[in-house]
Amino acid sequence: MVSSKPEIIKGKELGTGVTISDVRRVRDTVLDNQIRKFTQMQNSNDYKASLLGSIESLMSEPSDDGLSNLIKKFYNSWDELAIDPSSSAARTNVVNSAQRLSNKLSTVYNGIGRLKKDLRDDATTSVDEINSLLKNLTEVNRQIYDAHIKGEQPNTWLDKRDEILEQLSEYVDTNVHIGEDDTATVSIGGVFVANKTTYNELSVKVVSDNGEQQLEVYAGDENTKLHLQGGKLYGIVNGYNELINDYLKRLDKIGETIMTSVNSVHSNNYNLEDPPQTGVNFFSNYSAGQLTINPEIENDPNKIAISSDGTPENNDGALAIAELASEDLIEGETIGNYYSLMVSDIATGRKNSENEAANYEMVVQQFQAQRSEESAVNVDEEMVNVLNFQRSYDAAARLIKVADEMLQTLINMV
Amino acid sequence: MRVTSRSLQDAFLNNLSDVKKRLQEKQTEIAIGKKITKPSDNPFGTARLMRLNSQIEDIDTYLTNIDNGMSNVEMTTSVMEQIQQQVADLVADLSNSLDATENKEDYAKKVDLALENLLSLANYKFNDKYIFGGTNQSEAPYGWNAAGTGIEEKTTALDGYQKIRISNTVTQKINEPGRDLFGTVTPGGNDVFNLLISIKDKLDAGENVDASDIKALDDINTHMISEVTKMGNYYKRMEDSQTLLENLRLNVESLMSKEQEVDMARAIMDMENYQASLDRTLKISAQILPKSLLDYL
Repeated sequence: MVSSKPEIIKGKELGTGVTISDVRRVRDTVLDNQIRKFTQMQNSNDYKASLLGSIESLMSEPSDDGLSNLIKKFYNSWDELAIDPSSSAARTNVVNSAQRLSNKLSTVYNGIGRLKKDLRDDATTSVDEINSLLKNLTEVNRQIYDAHIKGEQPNTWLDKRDEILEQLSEYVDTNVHIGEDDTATVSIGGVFVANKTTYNELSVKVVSDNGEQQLEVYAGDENTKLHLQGGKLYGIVNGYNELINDYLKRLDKIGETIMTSVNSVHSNNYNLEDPPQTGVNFFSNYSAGQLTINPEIENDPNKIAISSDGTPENNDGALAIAELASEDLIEGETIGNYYSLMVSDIATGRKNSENEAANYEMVVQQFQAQRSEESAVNVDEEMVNVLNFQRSYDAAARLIKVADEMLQTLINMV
Repeated sequence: MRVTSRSLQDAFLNNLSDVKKRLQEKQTEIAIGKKITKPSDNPFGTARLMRLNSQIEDIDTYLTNIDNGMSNVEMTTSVMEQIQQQVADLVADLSNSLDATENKEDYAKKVDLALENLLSLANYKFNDKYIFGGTNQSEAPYGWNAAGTGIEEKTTALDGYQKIRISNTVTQKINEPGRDLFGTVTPGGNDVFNLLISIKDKLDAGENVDASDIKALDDINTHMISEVTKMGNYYKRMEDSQTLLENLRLNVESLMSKEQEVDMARAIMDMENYQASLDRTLKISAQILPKSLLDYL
């Protein structure tokens, strides 16, 4: 508001009130930047936490039917067989516990594997959302630019622009440059994506890198790969490329180690066949979560080989296999420990991400509070202003009344 | 600081959801009675819990092993005691026969009966297994040779030991292989069976029993007593391990419950606290939020 030009009568200045010159937005750009930055950090951590949460529930630990318990039970079943080496009940028990172990392993493995598909779907949805935001942003940019040329103040469009930028930062780490004409130029993950005239659509693709599937995000043509660092989309890509692939690899290691270690003992022992056979493997194969028990043994548990000399009550092989459970077979850890470390890794990861997300959320809230301190309306303040104007109006009315009375008196005298 | 109604509202919502989140966590804790329902509740505790869990599994397995081992040893010992008793009785009887010149037939019958008894005890079957068969317990280990002149070993692996694990690193033998108890059994040999056959043959022929034969039989008796003692030691060792493992199990269990179980009194107090703060948050906000200068003009 500015005061309008005063009337000057006989050297006396007479005020003529105020007029509205323009309406400006009260906005702190530093705050906006900070909010965007922390929003994307919060969102990537949020996503990671929820992803690890799904993995965690797939593992169903700690419980009786978790993998850790089933691994233990499998090795202990050999101990039970050792007590009564020729008992078909004990032999069937070994096969059963091996089946339960193999089922659980494949359930966990496939469950985690299926998450990949979910992640890919999530990535596609997010990219669609980002593309529509980018499209809107370009449109808004154009409006702002038009207004700028005409010398107008496009407040609504500027609000809209900031809103879009904020939404964008939920998905990706944006780098925003606001030009002199108030239009926003945005780059994501080091790649230009939108300005006032054009935008590049993002796309996701699964590529195979050294036999390992990787989820990648491209801008425009398919050659420009984005190097994301924050936001929900980063959470998705990171979850797909790093976390899930890593956990699957660790499960592979567990499956392979169980197979090779048990087989190496088993194939050196004799079974209950007549004449006793040696060189039989207990597990026939492991690949991608599928730990397959030798079908011959599944059909006929007498083919389990635990006798070191071919006599039916010799149990040296069973004892040797049971002892594998306490041997450091994977990276200096026992199989059971290696698995519990993996579980506690996942749990710690989830807990950390949850905490970080909560922290960033708090920071964002703090900034938002600051912004609303500045931008939002305080009813008390406005009411006081209203009162102010009312009083001025009252005063002006009183002045007019006095003038009127004087004039009246004058007329009456005539 | 400029306070706007927007910032008041935001602050209120944040506080409210914070209190409700804590309330929900406590509620789950109390309802389930466990502090750890998923690993991320306490990653460190979960790792410990899984380790303790697998320790319990181990202990249970060893305890089952020991139970089975002990019953096996107990049963074997009682059969061995019968065998030893039979031999001891014979030694006493035959010592008397040295003086007697008559009744050689009676003594021969006695020896024959004892031989039959010993053979059936040596082929003792428990749970469908020949307990003195070493590591081959599916066939009778001892029997007459084809010519009917002596007892011979019918199976191989008569010297095989059965072992069980009673801790991570310790294994324990739980059977008495026939070779340990009877030595090598061959027709004409000086094992208990063929010794008795030769004694019986002498008695049948009206000859006297040699003092050296009785001495040999007594030596066999002494050897059997020492074998029975050996089994007693097996039993004792397993019993000791059993006590040790049972104590260990109690310790591990108490560690687990410390890690996992909710202190109900405390949890309920916490819950009450959170509920009270929820009440306060709601009440105060209800008073403050709708007010502005407008209400007073």
